This record gives sequence, structure tokens and C-alpha cells, in this order.
Amino acid sequence: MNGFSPSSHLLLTIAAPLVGAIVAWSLGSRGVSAVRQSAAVSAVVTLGLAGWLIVRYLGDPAAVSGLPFGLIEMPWLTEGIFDVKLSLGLDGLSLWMFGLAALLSVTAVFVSWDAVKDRPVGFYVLLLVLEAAMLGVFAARDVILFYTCFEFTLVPLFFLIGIWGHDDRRRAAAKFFIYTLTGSVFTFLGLLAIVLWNASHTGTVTFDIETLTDAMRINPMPMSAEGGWLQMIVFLALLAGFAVKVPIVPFHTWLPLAHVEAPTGGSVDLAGVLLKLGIYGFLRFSMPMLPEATAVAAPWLFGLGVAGIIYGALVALVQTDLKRLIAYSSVSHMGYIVMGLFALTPVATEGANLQLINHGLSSAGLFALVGMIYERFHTRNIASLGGIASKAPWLTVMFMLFTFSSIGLPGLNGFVGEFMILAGSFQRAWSGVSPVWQTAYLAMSLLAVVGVVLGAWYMLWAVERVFFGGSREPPRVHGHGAHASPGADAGHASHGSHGGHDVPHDRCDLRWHELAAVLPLAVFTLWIGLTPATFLRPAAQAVRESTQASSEAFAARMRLTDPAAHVAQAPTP
Amino acid sequence: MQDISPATLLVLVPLLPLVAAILTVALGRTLGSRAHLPAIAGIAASAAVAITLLVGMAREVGVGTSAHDQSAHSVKPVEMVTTLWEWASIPDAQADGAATATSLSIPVALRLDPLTSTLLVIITCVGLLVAIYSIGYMHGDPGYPRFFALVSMFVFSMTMLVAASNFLLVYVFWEAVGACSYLLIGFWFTKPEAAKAAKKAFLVNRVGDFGLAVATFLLWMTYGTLNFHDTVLADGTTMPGILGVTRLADASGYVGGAVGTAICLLLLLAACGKSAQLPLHVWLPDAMEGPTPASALIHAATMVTAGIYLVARSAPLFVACPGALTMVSIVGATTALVAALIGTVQNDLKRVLAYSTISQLGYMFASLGTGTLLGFTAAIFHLVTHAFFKALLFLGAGSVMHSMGGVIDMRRFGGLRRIMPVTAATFLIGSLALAGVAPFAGFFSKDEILASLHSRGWPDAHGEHHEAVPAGGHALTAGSFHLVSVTPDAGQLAGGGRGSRLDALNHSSTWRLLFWMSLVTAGLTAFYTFRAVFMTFTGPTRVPEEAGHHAHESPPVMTIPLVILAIASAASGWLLFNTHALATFLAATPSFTAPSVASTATPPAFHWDLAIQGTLAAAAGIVVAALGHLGKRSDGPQMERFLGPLGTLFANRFYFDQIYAGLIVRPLEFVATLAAVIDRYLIDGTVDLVARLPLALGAVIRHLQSGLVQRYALAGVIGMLLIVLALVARAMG
Amino acid sequence: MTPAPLVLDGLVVGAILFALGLVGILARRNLIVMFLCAELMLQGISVSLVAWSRHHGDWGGHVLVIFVLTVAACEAAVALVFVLQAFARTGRLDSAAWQSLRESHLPRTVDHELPAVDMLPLKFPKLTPAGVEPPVDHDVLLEREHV
Repeated sequence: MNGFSPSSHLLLTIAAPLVGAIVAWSLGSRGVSAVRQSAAVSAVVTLGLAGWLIVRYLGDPAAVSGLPFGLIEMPWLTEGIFDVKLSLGLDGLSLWMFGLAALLSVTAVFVSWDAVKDRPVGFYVLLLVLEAAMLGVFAARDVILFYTCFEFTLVPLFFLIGIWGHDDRRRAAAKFFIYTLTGSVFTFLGLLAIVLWNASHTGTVTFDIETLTDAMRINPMPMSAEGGWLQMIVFLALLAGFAVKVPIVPFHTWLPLAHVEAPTGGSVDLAGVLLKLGIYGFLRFSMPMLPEATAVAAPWLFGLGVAGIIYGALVALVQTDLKRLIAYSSVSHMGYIVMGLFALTPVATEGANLQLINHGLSSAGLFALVGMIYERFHTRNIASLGGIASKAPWLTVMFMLFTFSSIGLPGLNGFVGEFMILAGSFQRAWSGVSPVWQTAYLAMSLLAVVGVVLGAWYMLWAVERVFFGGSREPPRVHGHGAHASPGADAGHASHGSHGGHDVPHDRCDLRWHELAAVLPLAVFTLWIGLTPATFLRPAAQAVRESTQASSEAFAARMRLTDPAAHVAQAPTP
Repeated sequence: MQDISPATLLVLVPLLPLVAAILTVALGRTLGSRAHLPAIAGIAASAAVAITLLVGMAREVGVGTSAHDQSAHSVKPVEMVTTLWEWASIPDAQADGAATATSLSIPVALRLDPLTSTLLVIITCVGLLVAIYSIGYMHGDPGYPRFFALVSMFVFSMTMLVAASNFLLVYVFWEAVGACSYLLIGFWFTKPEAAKAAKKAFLVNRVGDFGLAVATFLLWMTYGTLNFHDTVLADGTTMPGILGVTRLADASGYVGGAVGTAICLLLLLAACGKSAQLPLHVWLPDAMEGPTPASALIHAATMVTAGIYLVARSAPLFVACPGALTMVSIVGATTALVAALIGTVQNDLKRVLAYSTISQLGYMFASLGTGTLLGFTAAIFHLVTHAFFKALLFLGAGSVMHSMGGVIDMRRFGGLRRIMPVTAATFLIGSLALAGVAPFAGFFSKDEILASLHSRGWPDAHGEHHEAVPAGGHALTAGSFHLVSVTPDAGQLAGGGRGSRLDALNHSSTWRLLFWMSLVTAGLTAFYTFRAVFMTFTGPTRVPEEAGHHAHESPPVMTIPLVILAIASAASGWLLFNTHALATFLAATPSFTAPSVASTATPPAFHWDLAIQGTLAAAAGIVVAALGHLGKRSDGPQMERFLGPLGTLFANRFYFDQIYAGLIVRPLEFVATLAAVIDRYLIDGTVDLVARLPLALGAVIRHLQSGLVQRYALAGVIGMLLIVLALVARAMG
Repeated sequence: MTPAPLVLDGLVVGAILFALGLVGILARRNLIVMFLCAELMLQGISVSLVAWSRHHGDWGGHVLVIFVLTVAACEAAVALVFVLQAFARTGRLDSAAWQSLRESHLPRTVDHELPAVDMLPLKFPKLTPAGVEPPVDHDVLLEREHV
């Protein structure tokens, strides 16, 4: 197997879901089960290939030291001055996201197992095409390829929401598509501007991201009135797309709508992977290529991140729809990531990068479980659910696990990212900024920590209402009415009342494919929580490289704006 | 035991309960009614290991050999640190010209020192007794395996919490025990009250965790590390840990001033959350919705003392900030008094005990806040004795509940001593210990606490008092006990002489007030404890109808732990006090060997005057309780009636819940609703508005679409003419 | 360089032809006249192409004009078919009769001072009907909603 080069391995991994899609299509006449089985097989095979690729990556000293892994370069449009290549490869930034995309696709297939009965061929084909696009966007090393995949993720999801969604699906799909597309058109213009700026200096129109990054370091865009604030304009153009994608408050309103209306599989991919594209874009383009503009914008985006945390948490607090609540919790959690990213300290940025994975796991898990609850009780209304814990204990255990991960309980993955982000933000307050900025950063960081409390509030409130308490309203599951009588405090008053061996109870709990959907996520939730260093180390170098320029620019700017050099320092004993 | 290193043993202490928890989860179905086996075995083994470690540690410190000869200054810190793996490491995390060279390196490191080993023994032993008791108590519960898995998990988390050797790990297990507590309070999740109480406990604790998190960040920014211990870096240099030997030896090693005070107050906030002190005490009484053994273990003996542990561990940090230290005492003494007052009118036996726990924890905080070695050791001493007698009382209450069919309202009981003699006898011993009646455990530890407070309120009197005591061979002459040496001086320690505004609180009149508050509390404690005893166990026999015909003494599996705990409650105080073993032992804890702490060491003494005052207070309380309740029907004289409006105040728990609901919860819910409305109508409305703009524009322009070819042609011609004109104009100049 | 002879004249003639055609196509509503005007504009362009061709001294323009003439012939054939078809449908050669592509909510543009066209009797050569001609609803036909 040593003859199997990393490059062809990578290509095969990305191609596998497409092959799977063709197979699923051709099996369309054989009925639902053939289609979904073939989709599951191809998703699992892709995951296996991706996992193996990651293992090979970690075993390769050159890759760990920062070189791209599994590099593929094929000329695509190399006429004249153009130099567009089909260029693929993995590095520290994309490694875990690549794996996450493969992992969540398996989850997406398995949660749709029973949920999608209507036109299954189209559904699974689109799901697999979406997976290929997600894998492609993280492996892309060429602007055109990146942008193609970036945009192409929208198309399958548009149909997934628009066809297999809930009642208001058409509006949700249209809003989701148009909103994100509008933003990313500006992103494309910004990327073109970078390419053209480079072309005007070097004479070749290259779209290679790495080349562009290096070139932008040598010939940075002007960041002054004489240069027309070009760098800032390009940064804002990129921001337009990425901010909608993340989403940064106040560009988030498409997200709850899209999530609520999307089928579970679509929600899983949307929350788990597609939201991360914005952050990935910041890390890949904005921060290394436009450091001065990033430095100027960083405090404001930091503030927007904090605003998102609090705002998302507050809005989540009054939601009545469980899925909508989790969607707003996503808004809140993405706020942490944005905040960490623009704190521009190594601890915070690495934490933010890790939190991408963490949020991908926990929110995808939560969405998957909400989908399962919906399948059982045909409602997501928190008020009409209740007492699920006694009917579906394993579902509850899983939900609790992801809830704890989401609210940052130590030992689980969410804590690691949150802790690092917050620690890095506090570090920013002490990193030689002027007293005014220090106060501002300190206040914002404290607010973010308050967000942790709020996060626990809304999640536990929902858990309490949905899972605990007396069993309420199961319209479909007839639970024999045998539930613990309230007031059964002393243990034996509730003898055998919910023995756990009743048939309907078992049927209500997780089935094998549902377990297959969430168990891998749970494993990673624990794994990252216990040994985060394993996951931090491969990405550390890449994250640091991509944020270093911005970080330095920020420091330079802070010195510039504060000539008095009255620098707030931590008292060193 | 010679061939197993202490490091391995230390790891075994938390590991065994963890394995037990995993086994219970994995095999719970199979084991069925024997699901307690892994937990009991694991915790028992863990307790054995912990005791081995304690003995070894005691030998190393030299307890019992030369305890009386050691001078305060020659106490060597004893600690052992073992690093398991690197949790996360960001080398050179210094941000661009940052003021502090900081690399974030978090090892999963366990430590063993006198404080830790003491607490490990308490946790595992009480845990074991509670687990054994639960075999009887939880028998037949559908969640039987779940309960033991959670208890094992809790013992694991709690042992890790006290064994952790950096602030991050402390935070990790601080939350982990909170999560175990959440799951145990909500154990009977079908009860809405239990679910609510669990959520409330978690959220209130989260507020405290907020303090710990921010304190951790500030510590990291200030000291550049989070480790307690000194770490040797790769390049051979030693990085002083926050509570490491290097920094402890340095008299100015700790930051005072605003930053130091902020850190200490945040740590105090964290401690208030976990240890249910004002203003975050509201969760503990509600937490009584959980199974009683869990209440005994978590909400009486161990988890709630985590706050005490945290403050004691951070002793040098606190001593550098006298203002914050005084706040600790103020919070503690106030809580003790308020909780005792509320406790006097509770009718739910478990709630009486809950408020009593809050009150006793307040005592410990009051003692910690004195900042003297006596204060710190007294707090831990009280922690130990309290763990015994409060666990005993809770388990006794559980035994009552168990046989009374789940009823816990004292007004419906009476004369239960005839039905359950063992429970009654052990409960009485626990009550005597709690009330501080000599020679039971509580008497000695409470006496030390009062002494530590007294020494701050009347430093001169106390100094004279000590002159009378033959002072062996220790280095300090008795005369040196004046204000300066007892009171840690801010200016000297803070490195730069910056104090904080809070330092103004550090005044002897404050301490006198606190002392009197504590004394009153002692009386109240005796009162409510014996009120409960009299209401439940004396008077005409009354059994609630829920008990049915099976009102009986609990099975031996439940009463044997009671008896063991009763013996411990009766004897531990005198043993530990008389030999001074605990105080000597604890003095070797690194945190207490900081010069600022160690210099406050006083020779061991028994304070007759304070003992008499304390005993008088207790006696008064018992007498009042006896007057009101002894031999009478328990639903007879009601305290509230005597107290009038004050009774209403107490019965409503000083309206804390209502105040929080009005000041925090409701406004927040309002803001949240507002945010949701803004989200729906303002932000999303704006988006939709933007989406409608093209439509609106189209509505204007569509009028031009007349369908007449010639109009289109005309428009084209005009457009072309304009272009031509523009070109011409440009060509012309 | 002296300008080649007749270049300017050719351009002027071409411009005049173009302008006449333009005015005609904008002002007249008779489909055939409009078509003729379009041809007029096309020929104006052709003349100026010839003129520029002379100016540049090559045959490109001339060749292009030949092409244009050829294409225009085809185009005339096609266009006349359309005109005939339009007339067959409405019985009118007025271009304003065709308004169905206007925005749906706008009213039909009606010019009041339109001279009354003597529409009757309509006599067209037609093939022998193979059956009874169905009555034609002209409005429906005009709106083409069911076509």
C-alpha cells in the first residue's frame, strides 16, 4: 500500500462521494434501502479514506513541519498569462476540517435513514455531492477552485432545504441562498482584486493561494489614504461573504430560518461544516494576505464576536422551538470563534481553530438528536415535549453529552476551545495595548465569560423542559402511562414504574443507525476534551503562520496609535 | 507497599473510582441489583490507598515525633507532584510585544501534600460510607446503577479536584463535580422540582465558575503560569509555580493591590458558588431534592467544601491582600448568621441540615479570612469534623425518610426514637457535635475558629493570653504577638505598597463584630439542631401515613455507616485537637509555609474563655429548643409565631430567591424577549427590507415596459445618442 | 496623406440615409414602412462602410457590404414573413397593435387620434377552405394568452 501516493489518496477521497452519488443514482430504481445503503457505504468509505489520510499526514514529518500534504497540481486554464490550476493539498489549517466534513457526512446520511422517504435518490445524491464540495473547499489550494467549491456547497443545500425541508422551506432556501450568495459575490471580487494586484506587480495572473500569500507579504496592498485604502476595501469585500457565512451578528438571520426548515441531514452539514467556511476564509485569506486591514478591523470584529455571544444567548433564551434554540446557540458559539480569531494572540487563535471542530461536533450532534426527537414526537416545541429521559435514556445521555460539550464543561471538547479563546482574549488585554483598549478588551472578555453562564442557562433550561419532568405529550408513542409518580422521593416509592424494559420504551430509544450517527461525534467530543494537545499540535504551526502577520500588524498599530507608550502591563512580581 | 511509588498510589486514588464508574455504566444492566459492587470496591480501594498515602505523608512531615518542638519557621513544605500528560501546550504564546512572557503549558499533574492527603482521606472514607449506606437506601430504585456510577464519578472528580496541581485542572474538576452534583440532584428527573433544582444548582455554580475562570485568566496573566508547583522547563530553568516553593520563599512573591485583590475576590466568588455562601447560597437548600445519600456526600461533606479548599490552597494569595481576606471572613460570618437564622424556622429536616451546612461553611470561611495559620488549620479542622457529623446527620435524616415513606416534614413526626433507636442515637451524637457540645468533634473545631477570630479582634488580649502558655522551644517570643505580626501587612507583601480600598475593612472592630456574630451563630446552631432533634425524635410517637405499616429501623447496611460516623463525630475532635496532629500536619502544606502565613503560627492552646463562651451559647440554644419542643407535639409551638414578622422573613429565606427573580432573572428574560423581538423585526426586518428594495425599484421601472416597439427603439436611440454625445464631448476636450 | 476621393461624400450620404431610416422607424407605425426604414438604415451603414473602405484603401468594407446585402436579402425574406403573419393575425399593419409584451398591470396604450383604417371588407386571396372557418376572437388572439 506504500505505492498509494498521498496525492492520489487525497484525490480519491474527494472523488469517493461523487462516485457514491453516481452509484446511488443508478440504484434509484431499486428502492429506498438500496439507495441509502449505497450512500452510507460511500460516506463511510470516504470517512475511512479521510481518516487514513489524516493518519498518514500525522505520520509524515514534512507535513507536520508545515509543507502541504498530498499536493496535486493539474493545469486547468493555463493559457497566456492565466495560471489557474486544479491544485489540491492538505495543511494544518484544513486537516481537521477535512476530517470533520467526512465525519459529519456519515452522520448526515445516518440521521436521514428513516427521515427521508420522499425521493431518496435525489436526497442522497445531493448529500454526497455536498460532501465532495465540502472536502474540495478545504483541500483547495487555488483561489478559483476554492471559490468554486465554496459556492458549490450552496447548491446542494439549497435543494436539500427547498425540497426536503419543513413547511416554510421555499422561503428559507431562497433566503439562505440569496443572502450567502450576495455576500460571497463580494468575496469573489475581493479575491479577484488580490489576484489582480499580484498580477500588476509580478505580471502573471496566478491563482495559487500560497503564491498569493507570499506575494502579498512582499507587495502589500496600500493601507493609507494615498493608496485609496485599497487593503481595507478588499478586506471588507472578503468580510462581506465570510461574515454572512459565519455568521457574525447582525448578518445571522438566515441561519435560524435555514436550520429550522432544513432536513436534519442538511442541518448537520450546515452547522457542522458550512458555517466554518467563513472562519476558514478569514484564516486562509484575510489574515495572512491583508494583515494591516485585519489589524484595524480586529477590535471591531472582536466586539462583534462578543456581541454575538451575548445576543445569540439572549435570543436563544426565549426560543420555543428546540431547533431554533440550538441554531441561536450556534450564533452564540460562532461569536466565541470570531472573538478568539480576532484577539490575535496565539492562544486565542489556536483555540478558535480548535473550537471550529468542537462546535462542529457538538452542534451537529445536537441537531442530529433534535431531528431524532422530531421523528418520534413530530414536534420541536419545547413546551409540548417533556420527560423524554424516561422514555429514551440513551438519547438523553447523548443529548446531555453534547449539551455539556456545548456549554463548555471541562473534560469535553467545548471547554478546551472556550478556555483558550477566553484566556487569549484576556492576554490581549494585557499585551501592551493602551489603557483605553485594555479596559475595552477586559470588559469585552468579561462579557464573553458572562456568555458562558448564559449558555448554560438556555441549554439547561431546554434540557430540563424537554428531557426531565413528567412525561408529556407523546402523541405517537403510547407509553402505557406508567411513569414515576411525582413526589417519589424515597426511591422505593417508584418501584418498577419505569423499568426500562418495557417494549415501547426500547423502541423509543436510539436505533442502530442513530447511534452510528452520533456515537462517532461523542467519541471525538471526549477525545478532544481529554487530550486536546493531540489536536492542537498539527494545526498550531499553520494557524500561527496565517495569523502572525496580522498579529504583528496589530502590535505595530497599537504602538502607533499610542505614542505616549503608556502601556498597561501586568505587574510582574 | 515498598515497591509501589507514591506517585502511582496517588494516581490510583482517583483512578479506581473512575474505573468503577466506567464498569458500572458498562455492566449496569448485567449487574442489576449488584450494581453497587464496582463502586464500593473502587471507592474502598481508593480509601485504602488514600489512608496509606496519609500515613506516609504524616511520617514524612514528622507528625507525632517532634510536633511540639518544631518552630513555626522551620516547617519545610512537603509536596509531591506527578505529571501524567500534557493537556495542552502553546509554546511561546507571547503575543507581539506582550508584557508577560507567557507560554500556555497545562500539564495534567497531580500533587500530594498534607492538605490534599487529608482531604483525600475524608472524601474517600465518607464516600465509601455513603456508598455502603446507599445499598440500603437506593435499593430497588430503577436508577440504581446510575446512582452508583454517578457517585463513583463524583468521588473521582472530587479527588482529582483536591489533587490537581494547577488552577486549570482545579477549574476542570470544579465544574466536573458541579456536573456530578447536577446529575445527582436531578437524579429523580421525573420530578419537576428535582429538575429545576438541578438546573438552579448548576447555574448558580456557573456564576461562581465565572469567578474562577476569570481568576484563572488573571493568574495566568499575572504569574505566567497556572501551576501550583515549580516546573523545570526544557532549558533547565525553573519556572516558579504560583504556590511553588520558589515563590513561597520569596516574601514579595505575591501581587497585592488592585490586581491581587481582584484575583482574590474572584476566587472568593468561585468559593461562594461552590460552598453556597452568600449571595450564591440559594442553590443548596433546593439541592435537597436529590437522593439523601448524595446530599450527604456532595452537599454536606465534600463538594461544598471545595470552596474552603480553594481559599486555603490559595492562602498566600489571600494573605497578600488583607482587604480580600477580610471580605472572606465577612462573607463567612454573615452567611453563618443568616443561614442559621433561616434554619431556625425550617420544617423540612433536610432543609434544616442544608441551612446548617451553609452556616457551618460560613464558619469555615470566617476562620479562613483571619489569614493566620490558626485560622487556616482551624477551617480545615472544622471541615474534617463537619464532614463526619454532617454526613452522619444527613444519613440519619435519610434513614428517617427511608422508613417514613419519603416524608421529611418534621411537623409530621414525633417520638421516632422508639421506632428507630439506632438512628436516633447516632443523630443525637451528630447534633451534639454540630451544636458544639464538649467533648464532641464540633466543639473543638468551633473553638479553634472562635479563637482565630478572637485573636484578630483582640490581638493584644490574645497576645497576653499566650504569654501564659508555656511556649516550648519555638522561635517567636510570646511578646512578638502584636498587631503587626499577626496581621499580614499589605504594604510589605504587595510589592509596591499598593493596597486596595477594601483594606479599610481590615480593622479590629470588624473582627470583633465578626466574632460576636459567630458566637450568636453558635447559639442558633444549637437551637435549630436540637429543635430538629426534639421535633423528630421526642414527644408522642407520630408516624405519617405514607410510611404505612412498615415504619421500622433501617437495615444494618444503613445503620452501620451511621454508627461509624457517630464514632468519628464523637472522637475525631478530641483526638485531633489533643494531639495537635492535624494542625502540625497541615502546617507543612506548601501554601501554609509562605512566610506571611507561617509567621502567624501560634502555639497550640486551649482557650478556656472562648470554650466557656461557646458552650454557654450552645447551652442557651439547646435550652430554648427544649423549652419549645421537648416532649411536645412537633406540630405544636411554631417558631414563626414567636418571631412575628422576623419569622416571616426567615421562613421566606430573607427573600433571596424573590430578589434574584426580580433583579436578575426577570430583567434578563425581558432583555432576552426584547432581543428576540429586535432580531425578528429589526435585524431580520432590515434584511427583508433590503430584499424588497429591488422589487420596489422594479415597480418603478416596469412602467417603462409598455410593450410598444417604437418606444423601446426610441429609448435605444436616445441611449446611443447620449453615448455619442459623451464621446464627442470627450473628444472635443 | 490626402484623403481618398468620395470618402466624405459617401459618409454624408450614408449618414443621411441612416438618419432618414432612423426617423422613419421611430415615426412610422406601418410594419412594412418600418421594415423599409430599417433597410434604409442598413444601406446607410453599407454606404459608409464602402466609404471607410476607400479611406483605408482596402477591400474589407466592400466585402462586408456584399455580405450585408446577402444577409439582408435573407433577413428581408424572413421579416416579410413575420409582417405577413402579423397582418394575417390582426388584419392590421400597425406596430402598436402588438403590445402584449408590456408589463401585465399596465393598460393597453390606445391612441385616440389614430386615423380610422378602413378594415372592411377584408379580401385576401386564400385557399379553398377545407371546412367552415371557425369564428376568430381577435382580442384573445392578440393577447396570445392561450397560444
